[in-house]
Amino acid sequence: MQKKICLLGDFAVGKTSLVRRFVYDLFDDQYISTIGVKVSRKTLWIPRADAPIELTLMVWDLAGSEEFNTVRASYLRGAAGAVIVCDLTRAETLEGIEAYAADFWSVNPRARVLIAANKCDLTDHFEVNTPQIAHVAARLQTDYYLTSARAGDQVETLFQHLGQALVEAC
Amino acid sequence: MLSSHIAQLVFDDRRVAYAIADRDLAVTAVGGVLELFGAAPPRLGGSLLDLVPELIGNEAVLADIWAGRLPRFQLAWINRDKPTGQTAYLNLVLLPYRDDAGTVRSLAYLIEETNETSALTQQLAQSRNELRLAQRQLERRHQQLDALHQAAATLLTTLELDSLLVHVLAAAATALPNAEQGLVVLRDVATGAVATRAAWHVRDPQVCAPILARLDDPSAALCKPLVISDLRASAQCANCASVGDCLIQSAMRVPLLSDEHLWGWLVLAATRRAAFAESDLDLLESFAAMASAAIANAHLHAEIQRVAITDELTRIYNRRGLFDLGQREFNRARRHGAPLAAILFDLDRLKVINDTFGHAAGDQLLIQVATRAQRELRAEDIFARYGGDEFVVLLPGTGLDSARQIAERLRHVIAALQVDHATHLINTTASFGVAALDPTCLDVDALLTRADRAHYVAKQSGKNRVWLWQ
Repeated sequence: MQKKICLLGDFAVGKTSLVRRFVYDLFDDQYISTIGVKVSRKTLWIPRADAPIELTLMVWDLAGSEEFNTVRASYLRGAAGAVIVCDLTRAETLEGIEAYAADFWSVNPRARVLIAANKCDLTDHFEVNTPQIAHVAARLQTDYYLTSARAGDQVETLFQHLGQALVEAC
Repeated sequence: MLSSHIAQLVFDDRRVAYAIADRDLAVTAVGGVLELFGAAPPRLGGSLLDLVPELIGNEAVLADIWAGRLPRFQLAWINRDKPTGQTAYLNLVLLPYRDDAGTVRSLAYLIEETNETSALTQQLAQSRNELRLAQRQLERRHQQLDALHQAAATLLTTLELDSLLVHVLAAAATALPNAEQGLVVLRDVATGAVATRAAWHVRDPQVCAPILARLDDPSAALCKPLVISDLRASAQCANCASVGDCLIQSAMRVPLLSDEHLWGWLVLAATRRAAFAESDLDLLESFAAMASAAIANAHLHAEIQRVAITDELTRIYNRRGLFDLGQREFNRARRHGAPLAAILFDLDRLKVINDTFGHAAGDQLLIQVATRAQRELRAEDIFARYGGDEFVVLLPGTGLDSARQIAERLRHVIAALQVDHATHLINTTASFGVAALDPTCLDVDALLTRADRAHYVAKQSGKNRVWLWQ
């Protein structure tokens, strides 16, 4: 089974770092803006009652820059799921989550969305707290994960749960 | 025929490649700069999905193209890794190729490399994002400076300490938005006892107990700023009995220091863990410096006020203090119809003592008379040095007869007083005039004039006696 998923969120929240951690188990501190989209492939085994199923996730890491907003719809087309990423050290990145979800669902109405609250290792710089994230997640009727691309916290779990949800939706 | 159409799209000076695929996505033709296809070498009969991984999992797009619902599918700025480790930026176009009858027979897939412009776009996007981050930091800094400015402005407009401390607390909380509660805790310089002097959004008086614990412990590092990220795990609160009930999870505490005085502490707290960073301490210390200045100013102001109404020699009220406080007491007595009496007395032999033993002896006698007389009076009585060797006592809630008894008591005390000066025992007596408030007495000056007239009669009548004005 093959599924396309998208990573969405403001610039510099760590979308590319999450993908690099998930796909290659790597992390790089250097910040390089993503232009357009980088598509990566990762195969997961999703447990099922009878036998585990092989799921190939095509992970579309989309640019967070505003200049790509106008072409974003064609990138989103056909996606079965999305991870919307915010940065725990920048409060304003939480504010855009619902708009990203609305954009995504306008193209893919039945797709599954999860929230990744990234950089959870930078506790000294938090500007967003867990109840705030929980509130946004509740409004979107979805789940959230406190992730750290640097430390690897919850990254695998996040994608595994999204994969599980995509398989169950089939 | 098809190849010639495609060939028209391939220009000599552009890095373009193409592939044609049939309904099974099997590649039937390829051309152009084949390295643009990436790691998988294109081969006839192979799958188009090997060349266009962006279509994997995107069956909906392919279905729409074959059905004629999607005339063109285009993606810009597709990132692909080159074998050199660099990133290639590609524009992809997938479009149906129809026969003369309009039926979709094949898919044409075109790639164009856009590296030259992408480098500039990359730099532009990077710079723009970095600018936004810098702008945000500047905005935050501006907000902090604005809060500092407001606090400083308040400092200049009032000397009222409680109001100032609340303003400083609120300004600090504005600049540090993670703060949910704040306290200013002041320390008695003499005794070391601590007490909360100002609070901001403190909902539960117990919440800060662990943070305030051990503030009166001289062994604690009280003069150092402190950040507690997790209260329950903090050594600071290890022995605090109320930590289990405390709603606070994190806090910052900075000392209020000025002129080597530890006035107290400025505390901000939050109900979640790790609300404050070490870097926040710098800002809080700026507010603490303001609060310290406010406290030092308030102490200075209080000291100036005290000096202004205090007689330097005897440490009782001076004439200014007498009239400031006396008029207030007079007005209150008039308003409520309460009794008020005044005693005016002077020493009967001060000039002789000054001439015989010197002015130092006279001064010492004045000090002892004031000290001894003060012991005979209540805390609410206003006792002042009226001038020279004249003293006044204003007695709130006291009628003429009671005032006479007090004057008699003072007369006896002063007569019994012996001041040891350079091997000589000096003593004296005093003459007293007593007057009480009545409806014809319009101000404190008038009351004192009546007491002075009675005092004059006491002097004229042989001294060392009490005379009532009636």
